[in-house]
Amino acid sequence: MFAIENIIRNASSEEKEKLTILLVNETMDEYCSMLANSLPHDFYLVTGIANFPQWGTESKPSNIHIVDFMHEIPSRHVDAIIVFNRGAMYERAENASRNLHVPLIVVDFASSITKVPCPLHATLNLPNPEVLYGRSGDACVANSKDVSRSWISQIPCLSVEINYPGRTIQKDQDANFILLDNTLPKQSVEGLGVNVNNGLYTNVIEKASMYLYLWHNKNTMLYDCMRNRIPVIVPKGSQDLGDLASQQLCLVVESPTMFNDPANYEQVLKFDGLPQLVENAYNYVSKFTEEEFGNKWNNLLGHVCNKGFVRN
Amino acid sequence: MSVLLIAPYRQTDGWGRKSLEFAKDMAKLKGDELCLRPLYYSYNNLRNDIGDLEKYEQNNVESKDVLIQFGLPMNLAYNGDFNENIAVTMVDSHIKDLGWTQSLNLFDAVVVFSDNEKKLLEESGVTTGITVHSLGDKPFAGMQDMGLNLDLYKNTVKFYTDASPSESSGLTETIAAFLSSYYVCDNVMMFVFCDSNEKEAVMKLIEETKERLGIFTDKRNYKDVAVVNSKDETLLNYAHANFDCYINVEYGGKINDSLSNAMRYAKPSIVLDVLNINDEYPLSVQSCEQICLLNNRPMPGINSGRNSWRVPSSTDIGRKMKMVNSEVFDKCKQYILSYNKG
Repeated sequence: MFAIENIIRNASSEEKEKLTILLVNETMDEYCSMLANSLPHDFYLVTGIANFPQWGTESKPSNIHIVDFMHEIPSRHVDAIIVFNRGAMYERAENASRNLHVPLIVVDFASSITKVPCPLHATLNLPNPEVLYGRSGDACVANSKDVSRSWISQIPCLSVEINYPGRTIQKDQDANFILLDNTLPKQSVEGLGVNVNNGLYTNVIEKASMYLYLWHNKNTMLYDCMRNRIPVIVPKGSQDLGDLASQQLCLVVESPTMFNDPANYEQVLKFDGLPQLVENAYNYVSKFTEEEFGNKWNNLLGHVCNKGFVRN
Repeated sequence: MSVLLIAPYRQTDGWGRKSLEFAKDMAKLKGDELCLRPLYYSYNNLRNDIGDLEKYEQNNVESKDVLIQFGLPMNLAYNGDFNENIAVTMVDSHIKDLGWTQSLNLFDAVVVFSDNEKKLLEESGVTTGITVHSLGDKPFAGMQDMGLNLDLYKNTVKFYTDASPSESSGLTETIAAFLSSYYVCDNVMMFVFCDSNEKEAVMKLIEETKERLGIFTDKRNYKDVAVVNSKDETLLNYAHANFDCYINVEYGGKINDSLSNAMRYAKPSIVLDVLNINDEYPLSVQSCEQICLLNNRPMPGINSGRNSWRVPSSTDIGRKMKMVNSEVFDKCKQYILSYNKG
């Protein structure tokens, strides 16, 4: 029985150099990769927990393993579970945490206002949104102070701010497309009236000259673009992006459909203020480093995995 | 010598209460060598305050000497890293044909809490040495006045039970025995203590039993049963001190907290014969071996129809209720006092 194995491991005073971490992932492949690249531990994605493939990108670090069932984890124990945000995946992760008797770490990219990652102008169809305020972990990791504060005010827990630093990419020479990330539901893009068939769009970051950001909350792609000096275009009405606008880290536009007219694309590229916004964004994200990201995660995992699993 | 005890002591159900007492005993015995970790079968109504035991939850295992697992036999897993593996468990029925016997036979020792459980395990094929553990004395929890004017009920025999509305608690048999033995004009009372979340089920059970008995078409002719909306230990202590006869005929015949408190008060108690207070004990209820039948079971396989348990005879409970008088009570007290000493 995994629970007993996990409890025994947790109680043992032996040095735990290599941890076994269960990831419950939906669309955070880049974040998982950065975690795995920064830490010496083994990370597992268990298809049976989420009932769908939890990995979408082509490559993955060698210490991320995908298995169908828990019993395929060779170490026969799990030290912690990491889940992203507090939506449907949270429920599965919490169930696993309870069954396995291991701590749960929640990584929030959405504030308590947005609640879960939500495309712009989409309506959240949660039967009881208040339930989300009661969802917490043994530790919560927020990608920014605002997100962290928004949840702490609802439910007190160990909350740590660990900023995703964004990854550095090698841009193509002819990078002159508008990036739309492929995790956006098709219906949302169509609902917004964005014409994706006018030849201006890509979902490959290496080919992007700007990023049309159509989410209420921040995500990893946003930070990746900021780090790689790709201008971020944000339509008015995004709930969690107020600080980006106030610090002049992105260009706020009236409507997400502005690029339906290709002439607007050229106009934005020629906008005088754009280089400064890009520089501001780059400087902002440059404060965060992979080393700091790894160190903070290491400390957090060390702390959480050595505490006994107690619920009350 | 490091001792790691894994047990569901943070639950508030029967497993939780028993394992908490066991953990306290271990803490007394092992002191700082004890490392405690909670196990959860259920996350409902968890216990926040475990008092001094909390410090043992902070301990880690320095060397893998002794591992004690307290739980359902099917969830106990022998761990070869430890020098000694001990299983602590509770059973209501035989555990033949469930694979649990083999699991328990891997352990170096098995601990249970009653002779009947020991017998059930031995009959199920457990060959590991089985010890019956007597839990240490609990501190007196105090007493809460129920606000009853007892003078008004001086000549009334007051029966009481804290059996839950679950199928194997013996509450159905107890209620059936009471309602069929006494009628509205008799000088007796029956109190059922229950948790607030059980109240509705207890009331329903009482009404259904009246219906099933079919002795009166007018239900007002049945004797009323008082449902007390609390199982607080201090309230039960009041009952132990002031009422006349405690009834605990839970299937399997285990001694739970309330029964041991009642015995501490030397309270005449109607109990299952498998408890073996004394061969002459007047209020022992005949039990018979029955195939386990349950509509709801907490986990698949547990107390399944492959096995059997001791079920009280409701006729005999009624018989015992009818025979109570001061002479019988005196005898009971004597037997219980000598049982407590022994």
